[in-house]
Amino acid sequence: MAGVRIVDSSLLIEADHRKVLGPLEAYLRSSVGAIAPPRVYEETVSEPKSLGFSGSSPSRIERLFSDNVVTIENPDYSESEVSDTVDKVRECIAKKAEKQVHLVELADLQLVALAASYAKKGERVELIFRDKLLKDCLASVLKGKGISGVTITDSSMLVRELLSKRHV
Amino acid sequence: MTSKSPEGMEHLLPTFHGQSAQILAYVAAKGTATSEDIRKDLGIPRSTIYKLLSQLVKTGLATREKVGNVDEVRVPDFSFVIKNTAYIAECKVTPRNILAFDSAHTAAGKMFAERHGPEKFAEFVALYDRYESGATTSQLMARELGVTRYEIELLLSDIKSIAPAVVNIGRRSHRR
Repeated sequence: MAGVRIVDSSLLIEADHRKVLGPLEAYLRSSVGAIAPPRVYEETVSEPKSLGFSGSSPSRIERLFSDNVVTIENPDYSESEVSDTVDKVRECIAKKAEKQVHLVELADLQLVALAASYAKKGERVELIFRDKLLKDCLASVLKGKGISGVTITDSSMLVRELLSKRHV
Repeated sequence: MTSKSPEGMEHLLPTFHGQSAQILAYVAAKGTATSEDIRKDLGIPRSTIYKLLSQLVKTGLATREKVGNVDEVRVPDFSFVIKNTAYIAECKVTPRNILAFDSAHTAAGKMFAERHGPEKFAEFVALYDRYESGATTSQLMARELGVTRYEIELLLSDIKSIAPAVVNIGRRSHRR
């Protein structure tokens, strides 16, 4: 049973903002591969670059992708179990946030699709993000569908851990 | 809930900033705390805690009650409308969003307010409550505010760096 880490924009942005991108790179290079859906690249690199954010943050994050520390992977929705998981998480978020389903955007759901797809193949999945609402919805949908092997790591806690190690 | 208009309340503004804000948010998230809890979790020196707590009790933003050998501190569910500070327009500040309010002083907060204006920053502060209680996501916040997720994540990162212990306690207490 191999394994994969799926990272969200929150992890990359917070790690860069708090100057632990180097330790994060070492962490992500260890043991299993790190992947992210295309939307994460857009949120962390393309969009801030196009808006002309000062500083070199988007470029620093971009290097994680160009150096293959994080590989961009398109989610595959062709498996019915994957698309069904995504739909259920989308409905859950929309209901709890009191928003219309179509307002729940791509990135969260791309993470869910990747996680469901790898878990279905029997691989261990570590999903790293921060949003509590997504965590609650994903945990309940995965449990309901009997999908195991997905662990959720809070990205802020991970950044905090990297910070504390840096200060040792 | 205590709700007061801003007139004549200017003297309270400093308590919504820095270590006072951290203490208020921390105690509110925890329900009740001792000075020792505050010292351990927030890393604020004991003498500073006593000074700040005295001010908070004096202004009615916190209460102190002797339980056994220790003083237990509580924070009532206050709500103050604050208008026209340097980076924020009219905004309702509560113990739950006080760190978001205080993030106006961080680099990301200043950048956000300069790019989008103080009204938009006030909208962010109002939405922060919902985010921490698990009623919205950072993506939905970005969409609702018409900004990028990158900017929202920078703000959230700064709030977490102001007082990580508060954020973690807040998240645990919401889960109960």
